[in-house]
Amino acid sequence: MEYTIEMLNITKKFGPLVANDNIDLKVKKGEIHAILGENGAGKSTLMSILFGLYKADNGTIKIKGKEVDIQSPNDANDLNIGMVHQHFKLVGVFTVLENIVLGMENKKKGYLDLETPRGKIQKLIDKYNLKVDLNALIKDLSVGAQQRVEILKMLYRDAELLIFDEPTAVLTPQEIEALFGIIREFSKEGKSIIIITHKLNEIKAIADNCTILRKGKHVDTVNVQKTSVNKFAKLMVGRDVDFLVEKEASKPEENVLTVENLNYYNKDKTKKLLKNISFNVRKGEIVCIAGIEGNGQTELVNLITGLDNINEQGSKIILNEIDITKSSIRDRFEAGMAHIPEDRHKHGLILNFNLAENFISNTYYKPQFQNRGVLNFENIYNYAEKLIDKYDVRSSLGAKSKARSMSGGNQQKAIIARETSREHNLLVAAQPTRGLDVGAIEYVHKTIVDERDRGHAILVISLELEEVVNIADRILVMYEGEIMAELDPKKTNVEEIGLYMSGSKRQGANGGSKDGEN
Amino acid sequence: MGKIKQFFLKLWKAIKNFFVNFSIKKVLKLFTNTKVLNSLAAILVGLLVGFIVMVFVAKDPFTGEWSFGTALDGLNRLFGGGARSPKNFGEVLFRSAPLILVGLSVGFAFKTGLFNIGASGQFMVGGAAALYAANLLTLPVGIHFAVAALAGIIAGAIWGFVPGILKAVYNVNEVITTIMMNYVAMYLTVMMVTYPKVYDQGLTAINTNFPTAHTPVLGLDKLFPGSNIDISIIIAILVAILMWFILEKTTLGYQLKAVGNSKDASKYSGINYKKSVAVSMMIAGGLAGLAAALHYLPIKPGYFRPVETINLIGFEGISIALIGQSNPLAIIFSGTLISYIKEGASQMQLYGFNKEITNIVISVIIYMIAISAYLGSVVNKRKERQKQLEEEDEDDANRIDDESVTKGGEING
Repeated sequence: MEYTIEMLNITKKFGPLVANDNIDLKVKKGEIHAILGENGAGKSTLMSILFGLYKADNGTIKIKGKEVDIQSPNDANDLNIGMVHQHFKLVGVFTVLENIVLGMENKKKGYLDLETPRGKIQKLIDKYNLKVDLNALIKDLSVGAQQRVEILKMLYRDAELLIFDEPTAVLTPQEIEALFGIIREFSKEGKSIIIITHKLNEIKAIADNCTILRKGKHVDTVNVQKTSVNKFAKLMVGRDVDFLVEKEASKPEENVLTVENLNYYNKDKTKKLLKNISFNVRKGEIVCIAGIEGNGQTELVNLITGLDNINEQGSKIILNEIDITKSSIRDRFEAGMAHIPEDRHKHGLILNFNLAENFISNTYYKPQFQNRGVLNFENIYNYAEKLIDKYDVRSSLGAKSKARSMSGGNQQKAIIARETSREHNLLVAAQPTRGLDVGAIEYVHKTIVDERDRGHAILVISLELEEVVNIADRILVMYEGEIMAELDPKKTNVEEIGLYMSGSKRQGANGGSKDGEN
Repeated sequence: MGKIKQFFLKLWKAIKNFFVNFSIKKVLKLFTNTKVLNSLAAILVGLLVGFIVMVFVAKDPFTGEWSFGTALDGLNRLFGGGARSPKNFGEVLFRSAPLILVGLSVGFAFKTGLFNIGASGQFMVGGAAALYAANLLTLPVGIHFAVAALAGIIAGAIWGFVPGILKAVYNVNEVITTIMMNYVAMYLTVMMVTYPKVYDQGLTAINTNFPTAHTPVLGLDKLFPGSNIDISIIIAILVAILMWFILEKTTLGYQLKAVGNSKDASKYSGINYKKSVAVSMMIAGGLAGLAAALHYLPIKPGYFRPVETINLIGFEGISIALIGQSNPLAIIFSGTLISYIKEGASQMQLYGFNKEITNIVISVIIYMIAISAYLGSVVNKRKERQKQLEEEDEDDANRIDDESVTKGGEING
């Protein structure tokens, strides 16, 4: 049978880094083909080559058996290739309709004609049930709706091959289900689909075949139905993966972090975001805060770490017997706190600084790195080499790589390296595995458990229920700014936590108090 | 005290190393640096465009008719005027010191993520303060100059601090506040100039007869006989090296650059964002204030007149910082270059050319530098493509790739 698209012997190098090494990819008509790989395995590079964003150093691309030369995304459009990027390429202040026709505008006597395309797009919306208001501004839409706009953009350009780059990363479970329904519809019509992902269960749910990449190399192409999830993980990471985190029972000792009566209002004091939060974290235990996004977890972390300031009397945060309620961020670090932030691009890294400079971003003033205000670059680079070695942070230029140029997984590794290497006894980790692949997640979990076994107190905020159950020694469930329950992971299950998370169940009268004698 | 002493010892060591390691090879290497090459090309294009304009307007000074020869003479003066004699070159260096410092003022702020449009205002108040100190105080030679220069620095720093603190605390855009501060400075200095104790009716400017406060010459006029050169150029160069040292080698520079690159990430890291912004603007203002001191204090000083116009030097500072790409060491050269072109332009007037042609030259240079980044990437792409073609002929290329991958794997595993 003829292939819709064939990519043969594709090689692409960035300096000394070989992003794609002799990769083959073949997709048939009507096939849903997944591309699986860790962060930095070369998935996005391969797709960027197909979409004309990069030019391959070597190799050929054939469409319906004919060799083609794709120089730019415009060429890709002409060849009916469409792509939904991980970060959407939409103009925020334009309407949905304007965004869809952008670059392919209809003209009537020299004037912009939006009415002819409107009809065509409305037909597409009805046909695939891609509900979206054509007159709404992009900036007012949810991420899920924005993604539908991106899909409409491809359909409007009559794309026959649809590429989705990590389409589910930003969606809720319901939205994911709806998206998969649409994708199945496309495949029934004979369109070919490529999905880039590192979520194994999604591949099982939707794909026919799967190509696995590892460190820029083609590992295998397999039939999804005949392959188990464990096998996928092994092919992707190159070894067996523990989905369960192995750890011994925790032996909690004295209190490290105590939060008392924490209340917090939003900026104009119209809504209470945190209500009477009290809990503690002890030496040698991992406390996990579970909850659906937007129920006050971010605010809680920001108050504990000092990114936001307390605006309500009576709230108290105590770290190692020091009252840090109103301390500066540096004083909190000095008091023993380490912080893996939720947003690694916004807070975690200075993207234009290199790795070594990022490793010292909160310790540069220590005598080890400076002498009377003059930086000691010898020590700084030695320290960087040590961390790169110990934490296996990979990048093209080592300590001198710009943080911006690194893959997401390695950026997170760099942050973890920095935070766990400096002196601390409390680690606050906000969604430490967000957007990471299986191998990296396993690594992060192991690091967190190691941290605990070294006698540190750990507070983890996570949206992933499985992660919570896996690594926690104690679970706190948050709903609408309140702690609904304190649970023992050994005596509970995902379903029970789910009930607390959705607010349909509440533990006792003073749910989630600071009694921790389990 | 010990802290400051140690700091200067380190600084001295860095300066010493700079000169000890100085060699022709390094200089030649510098010229193969693409950034430097781009700047040089931009300057040449700027002069060429200036020449084309001159060809159009050239008139023979005697006959009044169009003359290509006159255009050539003009170009000769524009291009070579600054180096015709030791006197001319001494004059170039003398005039360049304030320009370098104003360039540093803009460039330093820019490196830390701030756009200082207010160098003009900081220059004006700095100049007024320096002249007040020069006229009203009685101090020994040398010390008087230092105190007057310090007064200029402090006044400029205050003028930079106001927008800095507004940005830090209330997040007011510094572009707007520094422009406003230019106007405040303009009206304030108009009032200050006419204060009877400093105003000279004959000059219609602040009195310039203050023998003890003039910038010391230290015998530099023997190197460039006939010129007005004094130690201001040495001060400017040392300050530029100091700024480079602060930005690249100190914790203060690290903080300022971190804040300039990412406000959020520096906040997360425990860096005091507000303090950094205020400090950065203060340093920028102080540099412009020092520039003013070096402009108004020499034996042949600039005149401070009560005119209601904003001194344009702050905008020249933007040009100089742009040409030097905000690198303090490069700004030494870009400031000198502007001074050199200006010297050429003043000589060009001998042939009937308007000296405003220099503005065309400078604008074209800045445009060229702005697009050189684009041109550079085109050249790089072409180079890469050529390399690719060469590699396709070699079958070994793939094998080398394989080796490097497995090597990487071993290290990682």
